[in-house]
Parts: sequence; C-alpha cells; structure tokens
Amino acid sequence: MIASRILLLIILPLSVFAEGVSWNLGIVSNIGQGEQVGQDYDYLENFLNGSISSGPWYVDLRFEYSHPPEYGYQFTGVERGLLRYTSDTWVLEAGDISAVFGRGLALDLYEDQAIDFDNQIRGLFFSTTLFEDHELDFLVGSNSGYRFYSPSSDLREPDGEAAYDLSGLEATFNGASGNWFVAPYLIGSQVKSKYSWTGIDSTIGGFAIDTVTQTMHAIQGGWGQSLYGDSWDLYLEYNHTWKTFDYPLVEQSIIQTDHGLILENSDPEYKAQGQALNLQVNWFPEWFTIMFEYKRYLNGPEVTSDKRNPLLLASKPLPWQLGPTGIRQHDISLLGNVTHPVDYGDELGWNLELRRTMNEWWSLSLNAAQISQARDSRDLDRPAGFWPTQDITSNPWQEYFVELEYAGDALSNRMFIAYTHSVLSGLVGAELIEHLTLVPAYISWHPNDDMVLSSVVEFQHSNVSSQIYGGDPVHGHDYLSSHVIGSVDLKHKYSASIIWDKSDDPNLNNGSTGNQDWISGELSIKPFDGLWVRTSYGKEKGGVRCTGGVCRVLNPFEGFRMSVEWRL
Amino acid sequence: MIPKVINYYLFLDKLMELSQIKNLQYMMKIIPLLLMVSLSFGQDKQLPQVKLKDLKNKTHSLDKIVDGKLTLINFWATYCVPCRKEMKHLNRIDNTYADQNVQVIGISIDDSRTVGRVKSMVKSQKLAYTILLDTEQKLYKNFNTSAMPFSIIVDTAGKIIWEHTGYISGDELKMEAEIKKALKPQTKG
Repeated sequence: MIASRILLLIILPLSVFAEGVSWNLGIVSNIGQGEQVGQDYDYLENFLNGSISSGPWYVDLRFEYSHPPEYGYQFTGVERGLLRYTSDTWVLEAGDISAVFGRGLALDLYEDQAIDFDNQIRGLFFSTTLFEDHELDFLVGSNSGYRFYSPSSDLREPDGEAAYDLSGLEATFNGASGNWFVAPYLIGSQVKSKYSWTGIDSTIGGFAIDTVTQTMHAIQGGWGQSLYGDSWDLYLEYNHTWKTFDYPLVEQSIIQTDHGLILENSDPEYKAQGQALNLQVNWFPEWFTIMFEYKRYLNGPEVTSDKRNPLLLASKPLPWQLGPTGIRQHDISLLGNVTHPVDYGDELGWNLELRRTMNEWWSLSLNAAQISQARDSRDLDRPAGFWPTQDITSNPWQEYFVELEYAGDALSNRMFIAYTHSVLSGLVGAELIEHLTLVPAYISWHPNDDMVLSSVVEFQHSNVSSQIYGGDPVHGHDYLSSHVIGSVDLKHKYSASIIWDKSDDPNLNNGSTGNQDWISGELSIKPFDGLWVRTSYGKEKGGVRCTGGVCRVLNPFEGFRMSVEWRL
Repeated sequence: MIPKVINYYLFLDKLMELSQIKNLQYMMKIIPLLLMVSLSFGQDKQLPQVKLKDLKNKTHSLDKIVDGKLTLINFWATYCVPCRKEMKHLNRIDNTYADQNVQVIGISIDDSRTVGRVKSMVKSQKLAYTILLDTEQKLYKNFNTSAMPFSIIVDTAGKIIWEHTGYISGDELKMEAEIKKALKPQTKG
C-alpha cells in the first residue's frame, strides 16, 4: 500500500513532463506445482520491474509478490529501488547499489535471483571523472538481510543470515597512452552474524551454549592493474584483508577436572588476516588466442568440519569477496553437474584456454584447469602453497576438455569431450570421482526460414572410489548418465522440447544401481517480441546451478512449471 | 489520462479495503496502475543515459557513441552459446551496412568473474564491431529481461524501435529486415 503510493508520487510528477520521458515495464512470473524428494513443492513468484528515464534521471523499482518464492522467504513489497543521475562528468546513485572494485576479489555487489543470492547494499554510490582520464568511485551503505547457503545446500530457505555496513573508495588511473591502468581501493566494513558461544550462565550456575551476535570489523586494501600490448594483455589484482572480532574465533570445550567442570577456550583469535591474488594473461596472435588465469584466494582457510557451519561467517570470506572463478561455467548439462563450487576462502588454481577459429565454419577450443585448497585443512599452521596439488587431502579438482564447433549457414553443431576428476576430502579419507563426458551432438538445423530443429545428446561415465589417507584407493561403483533433448521451433514463436535424463547413479536412486529416467516436456510461445511464456511438465533430474562459483543444488522436481516474461 | 489513473487508483483502494485477500489486492492494484501510467506516457522508449567501459577500461557515454547512427545493440556473455552463434552474423551486418550510417555495438554483460574472458572471445571470433562492458548490468537491467542474447535497434534520434530476445538460426534475417525497414525513410529523406 505504502509502496504503491510512493510509486505514484514518483511517477505522477514525472508524467507532467512526459515529453522526453522513457519507460520500461516488465513482469516476470514463475509458477511451480509439484514435488521435490517426495515433499510438496509449490511456488509462485511475481516480479514487477519498472524503470523510467528522463534526460539524466533514471528510476528503477521492483515489486515482488512471492507466495512462496522458489528459493528464499515469502515476500511482498518493494524489493529493489534505484535513483540515478548521470551528468557528463559524474554519476550519483541512491538505493540498491551493485558495484565492483577491480574484478571483485575485494568487492563484488550483485544479485542473482535464480539462486537467491543478493549481497547488494542499500545506500549511495558516487562516481566522478578526474582530469578527463581518471576516475574516483565511492560507495556507502548497508545490507540488513544478507542470506547465504552452503555450497552443497539443497534447502529451500537459507542456512544463515547476516547484516553489514560498508563503505569503499576506488581510484582508477588510466595511462595517457591507453596502454595501462591502475586502480587502488580501500574498503571498511562491519558485519554482524550469528555465532555459537559457550559461557557461564549465573542463573543456572553452569555453562550455557547461546547463539549470540558476533560483530566483525574489517579493512580491505588492494589494487587492480592492466597492461595492454598489441597482441597481448595482462591483468593483476591483489588485496589484503584485516578483521577483528568481539567474540573470538575459538574452539570451546567443557572439561571434567578434579575441581569440577571447566570451560576451556583453545587459542582464541580476536583478529585474522586474508589475501587474494588473481592474474590473467591473454595472448592473441593472428591464428589463435590463449588465456592463462591464476588465482590464489586465502580469505579464510578453515578446517573441513567448519566449512559448512553457518554460525562461523566471521571466519569465512566477507560476503562481497568473490572474484574470477578460474574455471568455466558449462552450458553442457552433465558437466555443469560436476562443476566445482569455488571456495573464495581457500583455493588456488590455474586455467589455460586456447581457442582457434580454423575457417569460416570450424573453431576449436582446448581447456585445462586445476584447482585445490591452498592449505591443508587438517593443519592450518602449515604455510599455503602456490600451485594446486592433486593430494587427496586438499579437495583437488581438475578438468580437461576439447570442443569442436561447426557453424554453417543452415546447420551448426558442437562436439565435446571432457575428463573431470574431483575429490571430496573428509576428515579421515576422501571420495574420488572420475567423469568422462562425451557430447557427440549439440545440433541446430534450420531447413527453412520458419523451422529450427535442435538436438542435444550427452553421455557421461563416472567412476567412484574412496581412499583413506595413507591407504590405497578402494573402488566403489561406476555409473552412466545420459541427457537428451529434442526440440522444434516454428516461425520463431512456438517451441516444443522433450528432455530425457537417464542414470544408474545410486545416489539419485535411493542406493539402487538400477536405471532411473526423468522425462519432461516444455512448450514455449513468443506471440510477439516482449512476451515469452514457457511451461513444462514432467520429472526433472535437478543438478547444480552456479553463478560465478556460487553454487546451489537443485533437487529433482516432478510437476508443472510456468514462466511468463512480459516486457511492455 | 492522469486523472483517470488517480480515479482508478482510489477506486481500487476502496475496493481492496473490502477484500480480505491481502496479497492479491497488492498485485491487483499495482499492475493495472503501472499499465495505465505507462500508457499515459505513450510508446516512445529512449536509450537511457549510461556510461560503459571498453576493453581498455576507457569510459564512454553510450548516447555519444550511438548519436546520429542507426545502431544495433546486442547484449551477450561469454558463457552464452546462442550469443556465440549470433556473433558472426552481427559482424557481417556491421560490415555490410557500415557505409549506410549503421553500426553494431556488442555489450558484454559478463560479470566480474567472467569478464576476463571477453577479450579472448572477441579476438578469437575476429569481431570488428564495437565491444563495451556492462559488468554490473546497469544498462541491461533497464530492459527487464533475463534472456540472452538480447538485441535492440536504436534509431538516429536515440529511440528504441525494435527489441528481440534470444537467438535461433534465422533471427539474423529478422534483424536485417528491421534495419532495412529503418533505413528506408532515411534514404527517402
């Protein structure tokens, strides 16, 4: 009610000056009715986005009515708002601020509704040009309801919540020749999150475990820089983080002694430091391009048992510390499911990619990536390494693939072969999985202007074994998965698809090694540009959905879904 | 139109007070209200003023790049496969119509985690048209879409005359037809 009145108050004065006013409206509705792992799973989410611009002014508002949403909490009201003024030399924003310093190693504020991730702040952003070539960016604001999920979470609602205030300053100095830039930055913040604390409770005369609010103050400083050559470029970014806590990070235990029970706090830490480094080199001579990326993220090394503890946010990377993933996000469904959620707290790795366009029709990509923890999570006192190890105690992950793409006038196809090796390190041993993925067809063929026929065929063979640290690997089981899509598009308006997944992975079939099928159908209609209606019905296999290394697990779903996107 | 909007709003206000379906009343009020207000503005959509960086970190005002040219703007990302398929057609369109005051601008919406792959992609695809970065999606969000690729055509006065979501083979012909249609009055003039 109040929100609609606010909107009216903003829009009506603007309408008086309707000449030169430009508007955009969009409605996105997602409806689902069905079951997930045997439980009813219904959702209804509606987002009404409205933006108006007039000369240098821009207003953006989003209303949400979700009952409940697919992920996160039920909400009705103004979910996002932004007012921006753009002049020739400066920009001022007030509202929900998305911003990136460098490539986000120190500060990356963004929202991704699909995985219920939103670390944006509500506040002010100011950017100005200095001496024509240089820039200064300043932001300040807070987020009172930051929600987070652990990487393997398949829950509908978040594991934990936090609140924070932050302010940051970034200066960008561009070389007069246009061949380099340097961008130093500084960020100060305060984060409040839930923490499990054991203390003496005088009312009961004993120890009590409480969930308290832990306050952390952090300073981050660093810089990003680029060099540009004729056929190469280089990007380097480094930052350092200093944190202090009111409640110390500590392992607490209650011990029986001759004098009774005592509370022992082992090595309480009232402060912590972190650092992150990212390097990328591109080389593009005439006949191919090479990209090499190196990362070393040490924003919060933890022992394995703490990594998924939502009551230990202070020991993890700050909610806005993200950065390049160092691995590719796959559109190949089966490969996407075996991808690696990036641990911005403790990870190092490299990625090498070569692309070659062979002629007008054919192109080739080769990619290799290796990643592991930088520290041994069983012994955090040992110094961090510089290159990823394949030691099974360090959650190593590696992937190599070759992709061949044909893009003809009427027919296009991609062929893909990949080897992925991932290890999930535990306290006494590890689970090792090898995946061999083959995609013989990712075909699109349009026999005439009004029809497009498409097909995707993916196969994946997986081999699971386990190994106790210091012991020999013990073979567990093999399984085969396949993913097939057939679709037809007519007149660029109507589309129908059948999606068929098949797997004998016992983890997906209550421990049984028998085959299981997931079949669903999808219909999509675009009656005119601006309106897009998609419906699907059937069983969906689920999998992993990632945005920039932030991943969540989607449970299998059986039922009906509908999505409407309408732009006015 | 505006008094009608106010009347309609007040009418709904009264009507919904009588209703007990609280969540529904909210949407029932907001959607028609916005539709009517938007209709009162007419149908013109202008490219909003926004500043974007190029591949060498230089900041540009988009309206200054677009100014006076019929411009096809294509939003894409390195991880979007249909976008890659579309690129060679955009390259051809840019090349074919360059002498008719037409330009293509590719705007990557790769975020900070994948933006480092943009240049490699541009070089490997040998793209000759202008590439800008919308890392924080400040322009893309304006169009209220989540699909990629997303293309718009902006006329010489900065008015958005065509929008298109997605890419399947043959969409480039529709794009070209729209450009030719937009060029006709210019040629006559």
